[in-house]
Amino acid sequence: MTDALFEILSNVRVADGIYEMTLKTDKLPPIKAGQFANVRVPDRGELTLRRPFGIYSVDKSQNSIKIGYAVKGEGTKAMASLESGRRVQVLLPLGNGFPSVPKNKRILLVGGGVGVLPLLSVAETAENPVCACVGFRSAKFACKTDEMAALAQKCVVATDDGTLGEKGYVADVAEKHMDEFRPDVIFACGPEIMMKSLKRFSSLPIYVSLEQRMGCGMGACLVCSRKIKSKDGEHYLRVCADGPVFAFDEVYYD
Amino acid sequence: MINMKVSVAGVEFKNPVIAASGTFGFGKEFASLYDLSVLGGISLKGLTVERREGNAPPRIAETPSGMLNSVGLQNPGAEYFVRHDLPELRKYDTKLIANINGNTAEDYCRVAEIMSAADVDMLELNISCPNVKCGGMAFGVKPESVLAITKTVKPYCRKPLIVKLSPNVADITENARAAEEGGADAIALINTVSGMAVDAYSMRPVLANVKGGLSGPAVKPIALRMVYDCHNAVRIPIIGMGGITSGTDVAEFMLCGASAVQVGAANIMNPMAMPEIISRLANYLTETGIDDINSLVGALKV
Repeated sequence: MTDALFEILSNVRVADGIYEMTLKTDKLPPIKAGQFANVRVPDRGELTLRRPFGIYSVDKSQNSIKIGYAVKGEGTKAMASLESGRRVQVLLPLGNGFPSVPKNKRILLVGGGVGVLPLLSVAETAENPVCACVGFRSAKFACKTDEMAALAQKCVVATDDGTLGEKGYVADVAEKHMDEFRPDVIFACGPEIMMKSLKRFSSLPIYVSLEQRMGCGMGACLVCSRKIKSKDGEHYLRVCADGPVFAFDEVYYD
Repeated sequence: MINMKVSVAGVEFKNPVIAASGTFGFGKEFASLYDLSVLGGISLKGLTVERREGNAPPRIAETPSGMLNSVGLQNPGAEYFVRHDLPELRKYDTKLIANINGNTAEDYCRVAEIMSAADVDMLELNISCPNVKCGGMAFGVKPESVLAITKTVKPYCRKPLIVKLSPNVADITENARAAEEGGADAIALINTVSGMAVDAYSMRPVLANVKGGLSGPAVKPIALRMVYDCHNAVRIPIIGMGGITSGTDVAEFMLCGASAVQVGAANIMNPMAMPEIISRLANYLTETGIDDINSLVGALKV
C-alpha cells in the first residue's frame, strides 16, 4: 500500500455522466483485479473524505492505472473538471480483490452500470476463459462495452429499455445465454437490486464486489462495515479491508 | 536542538502528537505506511468488556470541512485486544493509551481493570461517545455524573487516568473541574460534536443511526475555545483535539493550554497526516525560534 501523487494523463467522458481517468505515478505497486484506490479531490479542502474507485486497468510499463467514476456529487463533479497534467493524491492498492480461480475454470462477469468497470480488471488479467454480460439503463449510459467485448470470449450487452443490445435486466439476459457462457464461477458488481437478482445462479460460486460509503479505505476507521454471515454468526466486516469482494451467500442485501 | 518532548501526568511523550481514538484502529493499517515510532502516542480504538458490532451502515457522512461518524464502538473486546493486537503494537517506541468504554459503571471499572493489568501507558475514560444508546455520553453530560463515574473508576486504574470530555454540554469547564475533583490525572477534549446530515432528495438522514459525531476542521474553533476555557479552570494537564490537520494547528492548541494533542479525522482525510504534522510542527518551532515546545503551553498572548 502506498499514498502517492499521481499525474492525470487523461480525464474523459465515456458515457452520459461517466468518466475515465488515467493516472500515472513514479512507481506503481502490484495491483490485483478488483482492488481499488482512495482518491483525494484536489483544491477542495472542504471535501474531507477521499473517494474510493475501482482500478479497472493497469499498465505496469507506464506505471499507470485507469479508474472510472459516475458524476454523483460535489467530489465527482470537481473531478470531472480536472485537466491533464494535474496531480492528485491516491492511496492504493486497497481491498482484497477478486479471488484467483484455477485457470481452466470459466468466469462469467455480470455487471450493472458503472459496476461494469471493476470487472474489466478481471477480463484484463485473468488467464481463465472469461465471458461477460453487462447491463445499463439505456444506451447513453453504456460504457466500455467495446473494451469488454475485446477482452472477453463473449460479451452480451443488455439495456433496460432495449436501446442497445438485448432488452431486459442483466440477470435475465445472462440467464438466457447460460448455455453459451457455461460458467464455473460468477464475478459481479452493480446496484444492490442487480446483485440480489443473481440468486437464481447460486448453485454456482458467486463473488460480488460491494460499494459502501468509506472513510480511510484501509481498514482502520470502521465506518464502511457491513453485516456479513460467517461460521460463528453474523458480524460487521469492513467493506474496504475485508472486502470489497465477498461470497454472494455471505451478504445481506438491502 | 529543539525539545519536542512533553509530559502528561508523569508519562513522557517524544512529541505532543497522539493519534486520537477511533480513526486509527489499533495502528496496524497505518504501520504499513509509516513507522509508528514517529508518533508521540496512540489512543487506541475504544474498548468494551465484550465484543461490539457497532451501528448499522451508513456510518459516515461528509459535511463541509468535516465529517459525521456513527460507528458505535465496534471493537473485539478488551481481553481479545490484549491477547491478539497489543503484543504487535508494543514493538513500536510510542506511548499507548487504552480508551475505555461501557454501558454501566461496572463495565467501565472492568475494562479499567483489564487494561491496568495490560502493557499500556495510560487509560482514557470515554464518557463522551455520542453514538451509543447506553453509557457513553450519558455519563459525560452533567458535572455530577462526570464526578461520580471518575470517582468510581479511578480506584481500578493502576495507570494515569485521562477523562475525555464531551463538547455537547452546558459548560465544559464545570465538567473539567468535576473530572479533576473525581481524581482524573488529565483531561482530553473535545470528543465529537453531536450533529446530523440530511439528504433533501431521499428525505432521509444520511446516517442509519440518524445522528452522529462531527469532527474535522469544522470543529476546530469550538475545540480551541473549550481548551482555552478549561486551561483557565483546572490544574491537571489537557490533551487538546478537534480538527487538527497541520503543525500550526498543534501550536494553536498548545498556546490555548494543551500539553499534548490528538489527531483524529485528519487520519481519514490523509493517511500520512500524522508524520506530516510532526515534521511541520518541528519546522514551525525552528521558524519561530522556540527551543522547547513546552514553552507554548498556555502562552497565548491575550
